[in-house]
Amino acid sequence: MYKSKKSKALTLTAGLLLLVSLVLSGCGKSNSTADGSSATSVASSTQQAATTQGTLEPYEIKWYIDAGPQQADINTVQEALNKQLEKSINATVNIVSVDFGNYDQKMQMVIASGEKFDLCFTANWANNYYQNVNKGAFLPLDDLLNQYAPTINETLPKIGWDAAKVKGKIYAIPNYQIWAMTNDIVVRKDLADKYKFDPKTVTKLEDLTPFFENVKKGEQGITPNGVTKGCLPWGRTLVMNGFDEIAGRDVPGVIRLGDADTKVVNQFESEEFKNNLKIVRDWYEKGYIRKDAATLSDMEADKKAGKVAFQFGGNYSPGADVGGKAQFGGNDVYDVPVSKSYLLTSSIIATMTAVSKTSEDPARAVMFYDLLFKDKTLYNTLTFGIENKHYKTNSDGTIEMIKNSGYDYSGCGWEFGNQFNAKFLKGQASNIWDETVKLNNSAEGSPILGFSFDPEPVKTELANCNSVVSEYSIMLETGSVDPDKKLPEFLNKLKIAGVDKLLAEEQKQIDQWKKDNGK
Amino acid sequence: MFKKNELIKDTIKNKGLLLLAIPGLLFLLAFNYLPMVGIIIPFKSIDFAKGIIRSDWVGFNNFKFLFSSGDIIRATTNTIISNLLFIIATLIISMAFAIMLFDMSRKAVKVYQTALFVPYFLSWVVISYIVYIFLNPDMGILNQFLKAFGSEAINWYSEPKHWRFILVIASLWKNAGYYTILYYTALMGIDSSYFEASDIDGATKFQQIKSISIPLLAPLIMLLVLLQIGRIFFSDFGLFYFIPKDSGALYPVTDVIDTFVFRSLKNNPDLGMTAAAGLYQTAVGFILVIVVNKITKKLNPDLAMF
Amino acid sequence: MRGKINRISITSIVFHLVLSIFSLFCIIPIIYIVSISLTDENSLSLYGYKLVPKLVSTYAYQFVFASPKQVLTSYGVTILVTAIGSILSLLVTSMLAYTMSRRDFKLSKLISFVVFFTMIFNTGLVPWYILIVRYYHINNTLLCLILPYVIVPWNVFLMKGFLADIPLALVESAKIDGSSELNTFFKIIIPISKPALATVGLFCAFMYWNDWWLGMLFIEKQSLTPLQLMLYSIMNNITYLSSSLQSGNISIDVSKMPNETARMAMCVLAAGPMLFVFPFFQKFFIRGLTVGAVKG
Repeated sequence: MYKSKKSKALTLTAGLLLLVSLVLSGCGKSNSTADGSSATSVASSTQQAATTQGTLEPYEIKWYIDAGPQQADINTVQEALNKQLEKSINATVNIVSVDFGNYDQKMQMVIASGEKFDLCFTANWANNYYQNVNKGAFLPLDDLLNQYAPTINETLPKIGWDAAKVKGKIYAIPNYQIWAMTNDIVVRKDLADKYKFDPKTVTKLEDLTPFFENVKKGEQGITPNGVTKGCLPWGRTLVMNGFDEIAGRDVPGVIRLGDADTKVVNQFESEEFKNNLKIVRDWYEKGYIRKDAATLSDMEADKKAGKVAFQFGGNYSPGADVGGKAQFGGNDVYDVPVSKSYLLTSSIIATMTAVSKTSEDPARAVMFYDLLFKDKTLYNTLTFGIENKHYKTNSDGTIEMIKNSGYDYSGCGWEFGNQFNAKFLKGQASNIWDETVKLNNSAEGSPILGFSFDPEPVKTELANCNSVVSEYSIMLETGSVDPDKKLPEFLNKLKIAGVDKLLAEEQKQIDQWKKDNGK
Repeated sequence: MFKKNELIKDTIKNKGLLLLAIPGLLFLLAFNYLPMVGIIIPFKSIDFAKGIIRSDWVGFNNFKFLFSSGDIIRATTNTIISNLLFIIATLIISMAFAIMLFDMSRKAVKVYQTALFVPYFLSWVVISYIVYIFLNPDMGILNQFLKAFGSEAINWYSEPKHWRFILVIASLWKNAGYYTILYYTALMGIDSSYFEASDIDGATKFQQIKSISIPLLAPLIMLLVLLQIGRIFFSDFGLFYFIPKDSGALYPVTDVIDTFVFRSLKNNPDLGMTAAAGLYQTAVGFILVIVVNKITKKLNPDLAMF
Repeated sequence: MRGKINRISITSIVFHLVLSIFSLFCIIPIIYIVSISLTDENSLSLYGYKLVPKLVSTYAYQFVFASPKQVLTSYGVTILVTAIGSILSLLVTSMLAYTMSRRDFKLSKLISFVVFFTMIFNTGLVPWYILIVRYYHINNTLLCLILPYVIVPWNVFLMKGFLADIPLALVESAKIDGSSELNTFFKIIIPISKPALATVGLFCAFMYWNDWWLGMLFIEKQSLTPLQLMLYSIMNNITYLSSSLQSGNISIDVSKMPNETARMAMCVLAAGPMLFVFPFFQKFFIRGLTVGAVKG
């Protein structure tokens, strides 16, 4: 009796699976035709655009950005954008803004499911560029750019394309903004002045200790150093320590900036790292860092409330003190570089926009992106909204956001093409974009600028090392644990995870790359 | 053949019953059975350009990749240990509470039930904040106590040794009320004449519990335990992710398969490996349920699920 | 006789004691949340978390409601989803569970297995997501917050457990009276199953109320963001509450930006309604339970 029932159950299950597989093969077919048709539509729309620029079919461009929750008044702004876009390229744009922190997961689902979309934000820190290129999620853009993106081609320096290339092809458009990497520190001006601390004199971490000590002693309720798991002293002083990352910020393997031999070293084994941990641990034990730093995602609210005296900035850009002032709750800040400026692959690809393989009209998406570079009105509407509704213009030409107006991407201008198109916010000097371009042009190139690492041969080792790093790095780098005990444990686990093989592969690929590029 | 006919006949006879089941079955088909095609993903090297269906087959590579690090073993151990602790602790505590409640006036039941059940309404995100109120290294209540008694404050989020216990407490805090109500409702369903008869026989409270309440609750206990064992390889993601605040120092005890997968996916997005981990969880859980059910059937056929 | 009464009262004192302690253990943390949400932010960092606020302030709530539109919208979405979802889920679940509970129906075991199988055989997120987005096209609608949770196998089995206790004789007699299965179910089974319906219904409501996962996956519009997703985002980043603060617009008194307290206030707002609803449910709950017990 039991057996027969069981076998019936199995039969039914099998039946269901069969049904499922039928549906599936249906999916498979429709999938493949969709892919095929999208490929042909690329070609046809390309031709069409080339021949009859004026008579483009209406098209909606779906664009995913990593810019916090969808703005309440996005529809009004989209309408304004669309009015302009319909005239020029007969397109409309549908912007989907995903909350920070959810973006990676969201994009993974979107991409894995083969959902149709056109553009998305991608970088080395969000919606991982290399991963997506390796998995075939993005379209190669070389031809499309040549045909449809004259302004972008004109505007972006060649070095930007070099950084974005993977195996010789461009898969994303670097947004034009600050590219040079300069580690900096941000200090509240009132406190620095009060304790006679001159941030310009800082050359090493130890120089900060006396200031922290004073703040700790003299200011109740103020955290001397706003370390969180998103703001780690080590990661934000990598260039100051003279390193450039190879396969990701927390991936073992760096080269020394200025090392012509480009020898790969494990940064976690370096003296610099050990020394850094020692100082940070000392800060932690003395209470200069919050005790729960290792579980704290950010201190933005505390900064706004004036409860943080100092933070490592990460990357300096001209005019950063204006933004810093806003972040530190209206207190003036010193934002001071503490390292030389370098152009790194990682700092250029930190903000890019890619075209999806699932786009039904990639040409139009590229045309649209070209317009963002070309047309200042378009860019500024996207970033600041509509004049007198979302922002107002001051007599000196600077603009000011209107509070609670329902639209404000003024903090995310670097996600939209060419930031140098942006109007100036109140308090920003009118030369900051020129200064930024100057800084980009004058920065020294890293010896491996333009190199991109192919993780495929050491996929397992890389994943294992990543998982070890994610377990140890935060607690070590916030000073939450004793480095004398935990660092050897960490390094040992990295060894077991295969760090040596990873480093060797990195070295091999860099050597090969140098040979190929005649460096 | 004859049996098949009989089944068909029976089904036709009871077509009204089948009709009742159909909407539910359709939902199952749409949201549970159709997605089962995903079983192929772990055996593929996903290339988005080709789509999932046409990506290349890679055999067991994704599984090799998954097991190449010791972490999955640690996560498996943590998952099983934590879940076993949860199952045992909830079973004992909520059985005990249900039996205690059963003995009380309606008014008292209402009060206790409300109190016990309240935490169940809170999401893990909220509970993580409650736990944080207690464990915050600077302002937390436990450290306030420790300091008041002259002990050293503990940095809870970097001391793994306390966390098995903390997780069990958190799980109990949230779930004990739920299970208590389940058992209590079942007790209410027991024919009161059993208790009346035993009262007349002069049975003590504990005799009643032992010989009436527990045996009559056994099917429900079995059902719940079996269901939980089937999911022993899965864990309540919110509990293990939000409560320890994803603190790396705690991974040695708090990292379970689900959080491991989530983290791997974040650090190194790889659908194939994630899916492999999912299939590993599912397959082992499936086998466990079959085994437990077999054993149950041997011991007491009435208690088996199928 | 007297001895027995004494003994019973001693056990019941112990019972009361145990349950009271555990009840306090359940309630006190919640009081903490409420009281912290009503504490002045600065006194919090000075004195630590206290059960009774040193300095009472409603600033956190003022802050949360400074731009109330999003909070209210999210409330609306969550209430709607919870109401529709629970009723639909309860209906479909009980119908399915009833069929499964009928031992005289030969297919019932098979159907049970079909349901059970989904509990232990889960093949992951991606295909599920693909179906919902690319084939059902219900993303960015209220449906995607409701439909995926209509059948939760766990609830089905709970319901089945309850319904299985209904004596078959009851059904048989209805059948003899010429009642159809549908009629029997709605006219006889449903009315006597109130405790079960109340219990499972409450679980459904709770599940819909507390879900942020579906929202995170499928909702791209602010106007459809459920409450818990909003809470989750705020937990990640308190500045979510007023993104205008990011812009360098510093006309409001940012030095008072409540951090911890605003998060606690959001917890209260997100969890509160359910806590208030529960006692009402419970009235029905207890009455239903007693009816069930009398019927035996």
